Amino acid sequence: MAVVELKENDEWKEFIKAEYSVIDCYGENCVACVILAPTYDAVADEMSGIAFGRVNISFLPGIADEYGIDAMPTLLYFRKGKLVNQSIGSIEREELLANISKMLYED
Amino acid sequence: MNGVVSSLYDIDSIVVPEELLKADIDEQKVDAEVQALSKRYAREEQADEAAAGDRVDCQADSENYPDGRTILLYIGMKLPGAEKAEEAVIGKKAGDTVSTVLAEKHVTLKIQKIVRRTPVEVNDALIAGMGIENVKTIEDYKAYIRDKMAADQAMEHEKEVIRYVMDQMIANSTYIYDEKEMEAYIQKTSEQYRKECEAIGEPVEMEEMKQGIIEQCKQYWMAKAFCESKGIKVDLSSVEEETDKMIEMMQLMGEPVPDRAEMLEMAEQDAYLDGLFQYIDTMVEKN
Repeated sequence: MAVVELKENDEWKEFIKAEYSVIDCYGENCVACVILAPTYDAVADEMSGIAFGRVNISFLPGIADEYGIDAMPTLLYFRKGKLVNQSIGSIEREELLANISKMLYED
Repeated sequence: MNGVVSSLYDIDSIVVPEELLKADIDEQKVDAEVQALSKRYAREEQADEAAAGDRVDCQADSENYPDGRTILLYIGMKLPGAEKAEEAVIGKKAGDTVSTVLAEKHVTLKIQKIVRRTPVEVNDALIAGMGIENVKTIEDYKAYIRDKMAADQAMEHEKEVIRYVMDQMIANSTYIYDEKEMEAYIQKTSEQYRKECEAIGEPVEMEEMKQGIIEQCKQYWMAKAFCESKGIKVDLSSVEEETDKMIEMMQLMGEPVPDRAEMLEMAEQDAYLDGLFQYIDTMVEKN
C-alpha cells in the first residue's frame, strides 16, 4: 500500500486508530530520513493490512510532543491507537520487519 | 580558549569537487520506482487456498491473545517469530484451524481470510489516478522522481560541501594561540569528555579527543575571522538573549543547566558558524 502523507493533527490521530499502523516521523533537511524512505516505502508496498503513514514533524510538532520524539527519523508502531514500540534512526529492512513483527505478534 | 587566526585562507579560492555539486540520477533507480507502483497499487482478492505471497488473516486463541487482535501472516516474508506460522498456513482454507508457534508461543490460529495481491500494469491511467499535481503520465512520473532524487542528493551534498570547505579553511588558515593554555584547556575539556564517555560506556580515544578539541577551537577562530573579514555581523546581544531563554527553558524542564559562560560561548560559536554556512550555501548556488 502507498504510504500516506499525514498533514493535519486530526489526520494522524485518526490514522493510528487502525488495527495496526506505523508512522515515519521525519523532518526537513534530514539525510537519515531520506535514507530510510525507500526501505520504508518498499516494506509498505509489501504489507497490506497495516497502515503506513508519514508525518513531517517540522510542520506537525504535536506528534513529537505527544510521543517525546527528539531524533529523526523516528518510527512509531501502533496497535489500535496505542503506541507499542518505536525505533530511531535510519534502520535496515531486517530491523524494520523485526519491529513490525513485535507490533503484530507480541504483547 | 583564546586564540586568533593570523592568516585566513581565501574561501573564494576553494574549488568544490564537481561530484559534490552535480546531481547524478541513476535511471535504473528511476525505473525501479516506476515499477514499484505495480506492487503498491496491487489488486487484492480473496483466495481459496493460502499460498506463497498471500496475506492470511487469522484469529488466535484467547489464551495467548486475549485482546482479540487479527493475526496477519505474510507467507514467505519470514517475519521474525512468525516463520513457523507462515509455513503452517500454506495450503489451508478460510475456516481451517492450525496449531503452530508464533512469537515463541504455542498458539491455535483460525483462518478468517486469505488475501491475494495481483500486481497491476503501470500505465498512464494508473499514474493519473495517483493525484500528484501535474503528473499524468509515466514520463511525468519519471520526471517527478528525478526531481525528487536530485533534491535529496542536493541535501546530502550540502553537508559534504560544508565539510569540504570547512576542512580546507581550517587546514589552510594559520593560528596564534598559547600552547600551554591549549594544553590546560585540553586537559580540562578531555576530562569532561572522558566522564561523559564512561557514563555511556563508550571507549575513550585520548589522541583523537585531543585533536578534536584543537580542531574545534580552530573552527571557531576561523569562522569568527571569516565573518569579520566578510563584514558578516553577529548580534551578540541577541545571542545572549537566546542563551538566557534556553537556560530558562532547561530550568523549567528540570534539566541540568551547564555553566552560563560555557553556554554563551557555544551559542556565539554557533552564530559565527551559521554566518559561514550561509556563505557556503551561496557558493553552492552560484555553481
